[in-house]
Amino acid sequence: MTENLPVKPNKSGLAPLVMTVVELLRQLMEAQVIRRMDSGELSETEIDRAANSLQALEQTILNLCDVLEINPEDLNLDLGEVGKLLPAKGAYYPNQPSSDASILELLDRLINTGIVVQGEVNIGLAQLNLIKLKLSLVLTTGID
Amino acid sequence: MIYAIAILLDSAIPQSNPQHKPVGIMGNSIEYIQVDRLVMAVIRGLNIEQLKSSGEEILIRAVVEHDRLICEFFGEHTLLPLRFGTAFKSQILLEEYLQSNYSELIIKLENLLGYSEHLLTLTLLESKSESKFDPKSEPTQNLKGRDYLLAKRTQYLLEQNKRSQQQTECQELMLLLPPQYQVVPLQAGEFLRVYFLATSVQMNELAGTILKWQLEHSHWQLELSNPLPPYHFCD
Repeated sequence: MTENLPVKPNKSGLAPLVMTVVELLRQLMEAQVIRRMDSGELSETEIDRAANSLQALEQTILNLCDVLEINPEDLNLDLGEVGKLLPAKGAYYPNQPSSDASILELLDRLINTGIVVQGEVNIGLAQLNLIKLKLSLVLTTGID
Repeated sequence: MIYAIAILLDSAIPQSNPQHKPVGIMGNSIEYIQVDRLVMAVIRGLNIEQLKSSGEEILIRAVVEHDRLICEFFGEHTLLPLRFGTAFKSQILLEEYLQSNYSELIIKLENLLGYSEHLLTLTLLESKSESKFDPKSEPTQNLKGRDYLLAKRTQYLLEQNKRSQQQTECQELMLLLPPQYQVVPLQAGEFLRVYFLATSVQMNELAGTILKWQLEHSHWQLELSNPLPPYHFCD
């Protein structure tokens, strides 16, 4: 009698996507903190503060996953030939070679090196340019 | 149009009244076109372009039958399998092809005499605790401050050591294989996917060696295929 089986409601909606972005940003920040810690740029107080904040954020994400019934492993999107969004456990450490490439690793290395992307987008119809977007993106490590 | 299946040596031509003659694609009969010691197994009048436009189901059936024929021939003879869709416009062109590549094809066939292709795949068997993500068992769970970040480095180093060990074991396994092998892109979950050529004598020896290796490395799952036509060693 399949009609009597309880149907599990989809509570999460867009939440997994949002959580994925938050976890990506968290891991990117963690990589930047590790880089600065390893290069001696941070004081002991700053390291403790940053680590505790990262850990608290990680715990919050895990708690939210629990509430929203999201498997934390599902936050790591498989992007096909591009690879995974996040590195596997222990697979990446800043400034060290890694065996499995991931988008996080790419972004972390780009932020560390610093990149500038410039572009222009023209949007229109009927052979008329109606909207012009000039884009200028600077991606680099933050300076205090 | 002459549809070509495989290139064989002349010993493969069935003598008068053969007991076993493979059924061709779509019920068409197999013919043999010979140039000196070389023979090409073909089907006359099979229009591959027409097959391709006859729908996916018919096309897939034809591909499967092409492979079945190659396997049937290979069960009895050394051969060079041809890709699905290989066809010649006329018998003259086919014979010209065999004549112009005669020496090269003969050498390839003679080098393959007695050999068959085998596929070896290696998959890592992860323990249940490793495969299932459990936040409570994370090594960083009870750490604070700098120790939390340092644990990430320790985790990375442990993982690198583990991977290095796996690579070493994989290379040790490769050393057990016969010299003619070809590592190909992995499929999901695989650590190694390699095709190799071996004689039946080599395979008998290898079966024992691989079994021993497997017993010593129970965290790996090894799979060895049955003998296959030399798909990866005929170019």
